[in-house]
Amino acid sequence: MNYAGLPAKDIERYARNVHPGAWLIDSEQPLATLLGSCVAVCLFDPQLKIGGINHFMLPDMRRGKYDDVDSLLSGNFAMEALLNALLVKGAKKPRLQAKAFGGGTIIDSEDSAASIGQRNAEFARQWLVREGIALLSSDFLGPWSRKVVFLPFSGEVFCKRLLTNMATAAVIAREERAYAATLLQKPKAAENKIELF
Amino acid sequence: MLVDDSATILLSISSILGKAGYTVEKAANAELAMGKFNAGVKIDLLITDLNMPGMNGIELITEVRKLPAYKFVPILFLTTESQQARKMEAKAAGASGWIVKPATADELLNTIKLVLK
Repeated sequence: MNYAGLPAKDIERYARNVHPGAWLIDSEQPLATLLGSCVAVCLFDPQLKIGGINHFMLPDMRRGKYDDVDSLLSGNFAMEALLNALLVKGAKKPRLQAKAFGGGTIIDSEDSAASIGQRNAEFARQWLVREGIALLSSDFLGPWSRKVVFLPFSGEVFCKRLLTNMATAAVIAREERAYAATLLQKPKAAENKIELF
Repeated sequence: MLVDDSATILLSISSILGKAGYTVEKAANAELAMGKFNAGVKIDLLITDLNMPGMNGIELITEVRKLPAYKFVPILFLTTESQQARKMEAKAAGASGWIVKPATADELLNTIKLVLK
């Protein structure tokens, strides 16, 4: 299918959805995600015309003296998984361009809600600076959820700010809370994460 | 010695190791690390990424193991990859262990203690 020739409303209809904690890359089909306090970073290689998007948040760890760095490592994993998937397809890190979105405050009853979004947005910005990837545009923070549609063949992104009603905000918040809980779970031994030879 | 092309990993892992009392020598790619090894840098452990631009982690440790001073230094891979074939390749090249990201600070420190025993 020629996705590039589709009108804007159909682009969204044909997009593959990226759920919290996931990432996708493609060179043709549009990719979309719905954000609350999470962030999504779109990476695009203009020479290869391939791109990807993730959807993540930093875990709010309160376990011990390494919480800050564990949180950083978790966020780094979300970014590195997307980056590596693109590198495997032949993308080159120095060519990559980024666009990033999210970190909104959709439920204003909690004092910490704003800081959660802010922390996620700040991490995304700082990660891109550290890794030397140019952030071409962004839309962070504010009292909105956001629908983001990324065209991986051109690098274009459509970001729609949504003034959510209570019911929709609750659904997004519930999904993000469920994702946040998975980030705090201790890994199972059977996952075979560490192997000594 | 910590080798990774990700500035975030160099920052975060060296912070963990520093807090735990280790001194960390860092290299942003395998070629820079080889320069340090050829100059005779003294280390007790090598932690390396697998996929890096230029020389990859397996190529790096293959070269490192050829140097007599580093024949028995423990080597850990810290990578997002978990394919068994890659692990076996690393083992054959002389790796001591494999850690799949995201690893927590405690997981990393416990593994380091084990390989340094």
